Amino acid sequence: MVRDVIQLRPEIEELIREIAARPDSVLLRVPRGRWRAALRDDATSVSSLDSGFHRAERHLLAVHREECAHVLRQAAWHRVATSHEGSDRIYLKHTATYSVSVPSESSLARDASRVLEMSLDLKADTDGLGMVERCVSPGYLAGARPEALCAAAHRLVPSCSGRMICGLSYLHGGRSDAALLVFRELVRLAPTASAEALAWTNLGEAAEAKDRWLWAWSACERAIRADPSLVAPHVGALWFSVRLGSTPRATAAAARLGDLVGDRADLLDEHVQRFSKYAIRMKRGWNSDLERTLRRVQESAGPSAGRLFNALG
Amino acid sequence: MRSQAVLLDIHRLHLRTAAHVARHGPNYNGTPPIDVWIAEKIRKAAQELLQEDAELAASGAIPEPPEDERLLLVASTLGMDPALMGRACAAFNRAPFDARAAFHGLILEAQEPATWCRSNSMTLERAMAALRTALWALGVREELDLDELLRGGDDGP
Repeated sequence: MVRDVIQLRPEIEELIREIAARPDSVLLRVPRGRWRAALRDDATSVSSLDSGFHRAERHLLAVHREECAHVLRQAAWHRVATSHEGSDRIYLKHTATYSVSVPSESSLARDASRVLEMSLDLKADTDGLGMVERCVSPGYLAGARPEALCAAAHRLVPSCSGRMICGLSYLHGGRSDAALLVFRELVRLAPTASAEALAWTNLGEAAEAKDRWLWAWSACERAIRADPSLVAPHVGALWFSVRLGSTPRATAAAARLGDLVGDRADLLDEHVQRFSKYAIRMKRGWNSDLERTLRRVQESAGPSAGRLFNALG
Repeated sequence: MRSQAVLLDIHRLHLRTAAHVARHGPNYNGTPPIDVWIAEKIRKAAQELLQEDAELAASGAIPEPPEDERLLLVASTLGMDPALMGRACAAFNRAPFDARAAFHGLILEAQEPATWCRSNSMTLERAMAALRTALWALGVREELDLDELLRGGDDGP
């Protein structure tokens, strides 16, 4: 049977042929069938008859596993974000329109109780469910290790957010090699461009911890390419350019940051605080050449970059 | 799926959404309005499936070909083996939004390029570049060369 295809314009057809010409392409490797516009017919595509009980049941179980994993990841996130290092180093405002929140202990206990009330039989991982149960107990979180919580969540449902939290926990605990490994894997696995950008940004931070300024700068540039609306890699690219002693890169990064922030000065508040608090650590190994680069960029930079540099003191 | 411009098997999305509704329906108390509540369940289901697809693709597991006629139609149009569509969709869904939107607008909805560019405040050149990125994600088996990025000697000052 010949399958229908979508009617394509000549310029799009040309583009497909161009990409198909690559030896590692999988386009145009099987017969395409006849040309007919069919996709725009809004035919019924979901039927209750063909959904199948077993598959529905599998999805129900998947939802429950994810609920349990979510509670564990949230618990780990709470631990990481409220730790001494994490509360200073984690940015909650990611873009002009998106911020993340940190759950309180009481809301976590409520979520865990709710999940347990509707518990299904998770034979595959009673350990994970046991950890969810413990999240309800007062005082449990204070002693819980984020990595253990992430690992339990991961056994239930492998996820990028679990890996991200685990990587941050390693990074803030001074285990930058372990963090690098986690973030490297995360870059490959990220399901969306935003998640990939966040993974690159964190990879940059892990590289910074090892004084690998070029890696850190490259990672931030990759993050910006994946999602230009994320603020943190713009700040990272600016700072790492200065650390590399590259005035042209830093000037370009400062201009991009200024364009992104515009009149939303609040987007930089967390970064300014971090620059102020960690100025000594950030300027480790500082020398007169780097100081000159900083001053040159500061002279030409707009208010956004200026605010960050002023915070360094 | 249109607003997010992703490619997901609608049968899986339906089942996963139904599972969310079944799990949480008993606790629904009329707030927010039912359409908003269900839209949230669809969003959550889509997010989970995107994550699962990414994990599956990365693990090297052999994905099942989609059952969704629409995805099979995309495979047919691009001359792709349907068995590769699972991985192709996972790669497509992690492409930048501009690229995914261009694919949806210019290929799936077959909009006039000039019209689509106007409504998306994009030049024709940029739209074609975005479309190229989307087709590249769907059709080229390229791995990120992280080692190249992380290789090298001491680059510190």
